[in-house]
Formats: sequence, structure tokens, C-alpha cells
Amino acid sequence: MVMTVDEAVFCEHVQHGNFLDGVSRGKWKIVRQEWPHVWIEVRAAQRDPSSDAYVLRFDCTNYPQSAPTAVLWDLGTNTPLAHDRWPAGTGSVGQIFRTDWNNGSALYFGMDRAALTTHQKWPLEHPNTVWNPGKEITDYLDAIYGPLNSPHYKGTRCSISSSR
Amino acid sequence: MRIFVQGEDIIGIQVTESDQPLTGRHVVLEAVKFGFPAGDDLSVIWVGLEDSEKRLLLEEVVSVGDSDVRVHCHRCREITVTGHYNSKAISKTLPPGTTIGRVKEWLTSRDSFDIAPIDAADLVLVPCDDDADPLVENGHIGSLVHHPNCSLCVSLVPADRHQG
Repeated sequence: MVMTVDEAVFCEHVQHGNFLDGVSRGKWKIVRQEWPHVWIEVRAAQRDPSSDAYVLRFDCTNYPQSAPTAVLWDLGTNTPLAHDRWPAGTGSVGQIFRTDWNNGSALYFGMDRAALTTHQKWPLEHPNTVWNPGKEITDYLDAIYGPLNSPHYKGTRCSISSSR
Repeated sequence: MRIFVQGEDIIGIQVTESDQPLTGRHVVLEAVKFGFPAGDDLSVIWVGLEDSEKRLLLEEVVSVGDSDVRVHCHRCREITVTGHYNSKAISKTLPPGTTIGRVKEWLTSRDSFDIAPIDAADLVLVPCDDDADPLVENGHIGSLVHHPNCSLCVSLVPADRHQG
């Protein structure tokens, strides 16, 4: 079966040093690929008893001309991750991992296709940090790895609620 | 083992593999393949491991075994980094293989700009007087510098918040 152009470019990008360096450092790894969907696990800071990693299912249709869009995923049930198991926190964590926007079907920031579609001023207002065809999947992953490994990340929503 | 190479005139992070013990000379020769302008006298080149102050000799063994290694090559022996924040500036000389993450740690530390970790999480480093993307924390300062201008100016600025 002939690989589509978007999948071929994606496969090339995940062989680039920047992506492989992230894998080597344990920051992220591809756990499954069924084009145009790719499941990538991203490590989070240890916040016992919360999980120290989250899986995102990316839809990479028309990559990289179009931004990918991702939803947090439950590999066990093969469904979107329940909202109470989403990352919680302040600052960038609270902003990106919103369950109250779009019913939690995508991440709320300028690297994600769903958010960009409904915020057409973002490319003008934030030209350096929103998706463009020159970006790679590593740029998206870096933009969420940082917040998940910052003091803003407090753990999963249910673990924070139960500790109160 | 995989060798992640960064250095002067090398774009991003490049990766290569070796099943032989790695010497400083091998690192330089690999770096040349990725665009490093070594010149004729290899003995004047700074070769070192990421975030290490130790300059490696050409015949010195850098690494053996299967573990991934991160290296840097540069014609500058050290780089004078000037960091700006809130109209103040401080400077320090650092090895070329110092990561942006390590520079940010230094600038936000109590002895420098004394920024609390929760506040530092909302700041990024950008090159001075350049409307470029925020610097990636795994990137090396030497990759931003071209000999004989062995200096780098960076600013701590608020990270972009995609809102509204």
C-alpha cells in the first residue's frame, strides 16, 4: 500500500534528531500508528498518586500543511480519556488541558488544529508559537511536555479532588 | 549507541549511530558531516558532552557501550552569555555545550534574577533583538553562535498565552 504524502512527511519528521532526542530522554514515544491517527505517550512530572504519563491520540490528516489535533486517550478502553483523569493545574496546564472547551475533544492552544480553526487571530497575535507548515510534531510535543513537567502541573483532576 | 550531535553551524539536533567506542576525534568527524566547519587543525576545537565543562581531547574516549550520548563541537572554547530580564542584565562564560535549560536555571536562580520556580515556568528564553521562536531547552548555546563572535545575548520573556 502506497504511503500518503502526509504520512511520509510525518515518518520523516519522527526520524529527525529533535524527535529522537526526546524519545531518548524519555520525554515521549509513539505507542501506536494507524494513519492518520498516531498515539503518542508524553511523560509528566511525578505527582503521586497520579500517572506520570499521558497518551494523546493525534489526527495528522494533511500533516504538516494542517496542524495536527490531539485528544487525551485511554489505551485500556480505546476511548477518549475521562475528564477526571485529565491533567490539572495552574497557568499553562489549566489553559491547554481545558475540559470545558469543545467538550474536551482537543487541546486548547495554537499548535492544535481544532483550536486554530476557532481562533483565527492567533497566527497574527502569536506568530512564533502557533502551528505553521514549517513546524514538526516535535514542536507540538515540546509545547505540552514543558507545562506537564512544570510546577503548574498538579496531577490528575480526580487525584487533586480527592486530596482536598 | 546513538550519538546526538549539536554544534556550530549544525542545524538542530543531528543523530548518528556507532557500535565502536567513541573518541573526541570521531565526534568531530561526525560533526563535520552535519556542517561543522572544523578547519585543518582539529586540536583547537572544543569537543564536550552536553552540560559538561570538561573539554575532551581528540584521542580521549567519550563513551562506550549502548547508552546514548550527547555531544557538542565548536571553534569557541567558551561563550559569554548575557541574560536580560526586567531591564537588568548579567553575564557569565559557559561551555558551548551548555543547554538552554541550564542557562534558564542559572538566570532564574537566587544568585541571578531570583525568580520563583512557579514564575519561571511562565518565562521563556529568546534571542535578544530577534523575533525568533522561543529557544528549546534541549538546545545548546553553541548552536546559536558563530566563531569568532563567541557571545550570546538572551532575554527572559513571558511565554505566549493563547487566549480568547
